[in-house]
Amino acid sequence: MKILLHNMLRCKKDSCKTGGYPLTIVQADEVEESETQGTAKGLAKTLETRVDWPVLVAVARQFGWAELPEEFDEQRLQEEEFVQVVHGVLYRKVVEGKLKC
Amino acid sequence: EHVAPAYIFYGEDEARKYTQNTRIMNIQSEMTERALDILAVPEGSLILDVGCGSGISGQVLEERGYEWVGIDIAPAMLEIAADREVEGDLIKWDMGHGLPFSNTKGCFDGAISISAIQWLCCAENNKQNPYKRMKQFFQDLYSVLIKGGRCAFQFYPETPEQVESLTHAAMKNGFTGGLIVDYPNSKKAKKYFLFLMAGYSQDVVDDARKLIYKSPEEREEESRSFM
Repeated sequence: MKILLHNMLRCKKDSCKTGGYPLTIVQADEVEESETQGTAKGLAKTLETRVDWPVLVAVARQFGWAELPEEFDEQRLQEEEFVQVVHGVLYRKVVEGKLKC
Repeated sequence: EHVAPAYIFYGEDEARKYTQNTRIMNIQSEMTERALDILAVPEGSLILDVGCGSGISGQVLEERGYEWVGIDIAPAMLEIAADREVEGDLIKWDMGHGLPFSNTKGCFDGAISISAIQWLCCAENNKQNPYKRMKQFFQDLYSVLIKGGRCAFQFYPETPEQVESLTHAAMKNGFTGGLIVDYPNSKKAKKYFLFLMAGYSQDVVDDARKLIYKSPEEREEESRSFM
């Protein structure tokens, strides 16, 4: 499961009382780093279209992958390093783990 | 086909037979190509593959430069997809229960399905109404697509009524679009595609037109310049 997918996943149980989003990654036993490079343009589109930024910040912090700014600033996409760090978190894969609602 | 729910039908034996049959794989591959031609969304888009099965359509998606997420009800088929080491994330899920994605932001740029949505016409058990399953699916699908998001769903209807039910359920839940029938005169070769749009976006339509009117040579040239 890529972290991008985690950012989109929602619990669909009828009995779910908490809105079911986001799910908690309680265990990440095996993690694979991203093999691809991001582009500022591609990342801008992804972030705008389908990423909940605060959820991404929380997950990156939870596993110590990156300290992302609390608020997303579009200007920072002009920094190559920032683009690669964010891309790296989004496309990181939890190969083995546990999700909880 | 509909002797039992899909995950029982596509158990280990059936899954193995299905994925070792080159003829079946070629047909699935070709239908995916056709669905993507109808879909006409730009490379790099994120596509939902409904009933992704063993990953045949997923591999075509990857070849054509798309990112994708696949859902399927049959664990045996998903295992084979995982063994293929597809790039797309795989989710074990029954589409009759809707879609497990957050709907505060549109998630997907488009959706395809190869030989799957006719399973929506089956009730899960004696008590359940298939209309409930169709409604749940199309309702959630509408909300997880971007504005103007496009869908191309190839399916095998058992009866004309199934074509009606599926089309009607989609339209009732906000979609516009229509039915495409390839090889309409050939009983054997006839293929049904449901084309849907979730609302209207001029940008999405403009992008689609650019892709549709591009010649194969132009497309080849463009993909070469990417590499």
